[in-house]
Amino acid sequence: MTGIGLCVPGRPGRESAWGEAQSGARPVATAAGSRFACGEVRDFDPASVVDRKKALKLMGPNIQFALHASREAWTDSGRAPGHPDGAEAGTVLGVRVRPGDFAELAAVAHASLDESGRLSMSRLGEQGMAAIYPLSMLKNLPNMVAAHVTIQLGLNGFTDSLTSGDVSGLQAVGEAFEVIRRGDAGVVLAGGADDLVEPLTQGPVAAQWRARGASDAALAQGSAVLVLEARDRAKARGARVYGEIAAFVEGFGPVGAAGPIEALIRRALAAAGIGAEAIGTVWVDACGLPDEDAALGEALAKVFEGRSPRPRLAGQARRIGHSGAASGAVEAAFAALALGLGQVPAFLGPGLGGLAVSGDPPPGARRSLVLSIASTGGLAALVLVPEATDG
Amino acid sequence: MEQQEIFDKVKGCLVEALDVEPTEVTRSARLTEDLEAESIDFVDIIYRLEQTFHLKIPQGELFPQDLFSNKQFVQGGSFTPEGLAALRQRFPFLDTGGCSTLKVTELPRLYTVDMLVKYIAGKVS
Repeated sequence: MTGIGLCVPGRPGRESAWGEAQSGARPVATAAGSRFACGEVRDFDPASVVDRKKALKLMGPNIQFALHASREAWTDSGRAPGHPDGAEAGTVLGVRVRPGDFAELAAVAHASLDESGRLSMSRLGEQGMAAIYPLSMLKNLPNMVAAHVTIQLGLNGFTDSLTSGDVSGLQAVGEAFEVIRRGDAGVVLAGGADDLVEPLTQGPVAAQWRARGASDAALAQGSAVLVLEARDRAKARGARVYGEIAAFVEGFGPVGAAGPIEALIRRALAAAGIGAEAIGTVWVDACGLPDEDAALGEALAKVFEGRSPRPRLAGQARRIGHSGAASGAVEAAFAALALGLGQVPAFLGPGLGGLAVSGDPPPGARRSLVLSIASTGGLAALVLVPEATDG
Repeated sequence: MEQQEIFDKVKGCLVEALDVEPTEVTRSARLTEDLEAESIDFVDIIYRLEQTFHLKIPQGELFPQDLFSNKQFVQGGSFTPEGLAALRQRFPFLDTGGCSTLKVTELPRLYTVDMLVKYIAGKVS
């Protein structure tokens, strides 16, 4: 991992995000009449991610966030847009099919009302369809995030967009790891982008959360992108390395079931060739959903049973909100920063599985486990290790 | 609707679609060369004109895509005399300046703000 870009609730940018994580700042607020708080990217100028402002008409907020994070990560890795490495550099991004812009669809609905104010299908066909902004589809297609990133940065390698729900972001990082390992790309920008704050996305997610008994969880928006490349390549060009990915595994399990999560963690450890005692920090994108917290806590307690001291628990979703398809990538990015900087921000929630929510990881346990759990049942785990020394 | 009113509304559409300053949108400004309109911008411009003036702009009525593929009208990258005649008949709002030859690549230069105003004026009348 040689570059990190962050555009998450609070001020955009890696340094701002890390500073706010260290301070415990909680950039979420609850609007009047809303059940859940929302974490928004503040002081973000969309014009800062494009050369011509008119390009913004092709971009939803998720694309804008992804461009900010991707540009920052690419620069952080020591490269500028148009760098020669772009010829074989790719992207793997976790994203969502956007339902559309509320204002645009409201105009269509308004044009489709009959005299009594009811939605008329014939009016929808005659007048409503004509009111659809012709470029709106380009904002909503999930692959358009990667399209804009690759065009702007001049990336012509392997490209993929994952739409597996909340686990997509961490899946993307893991998939990029596999792509490089099998030689399909030399460098990959991996991460996720999403916006659970915009009305048409927020509604269904909030309804799910209500049904699951959530009360203090927050919906968020944003993007996190990491630059991944093979170790030999990074060393050859003298790159600064935050850490390395040792293993990636995926799974599936019913919501609220601890067994599949425990099995996933054990498979991740086995794939990395390490035991539970080697894990110093566990990063989770848990945001306060009671059934998820219970399952995760039970799984962690079983995996780290008998371990003293227990690993540190970490995660930003409790602080800044859950950012959907970006959430796992956000946690991976912060985990990479923590590895590189040797510090772990406090977890702003009750401990899970008996893990500590503050303080240093156990001495000598320098590896990190990043977990992502999707409301659709998808599971993903990434094992991060410090930069390898010679040998 | 008076031409000035049409021009003011067309200007508004172009300012929104192309993110240009109102002062850049003169009657003689060329959409591609002066206002840097790209192909995807024309989709946006047509939509905004339709919504602003409450009219429908059928495909092929503003841009002569169908002429390009007609070998009787376009040969060797230039309009034939028959092609020029068809262009002038189908698109009377285009100011071809009485030229006897016209390359297809030169056509975008004819798409000016004034052309749009004349086209809209013809539609709303």
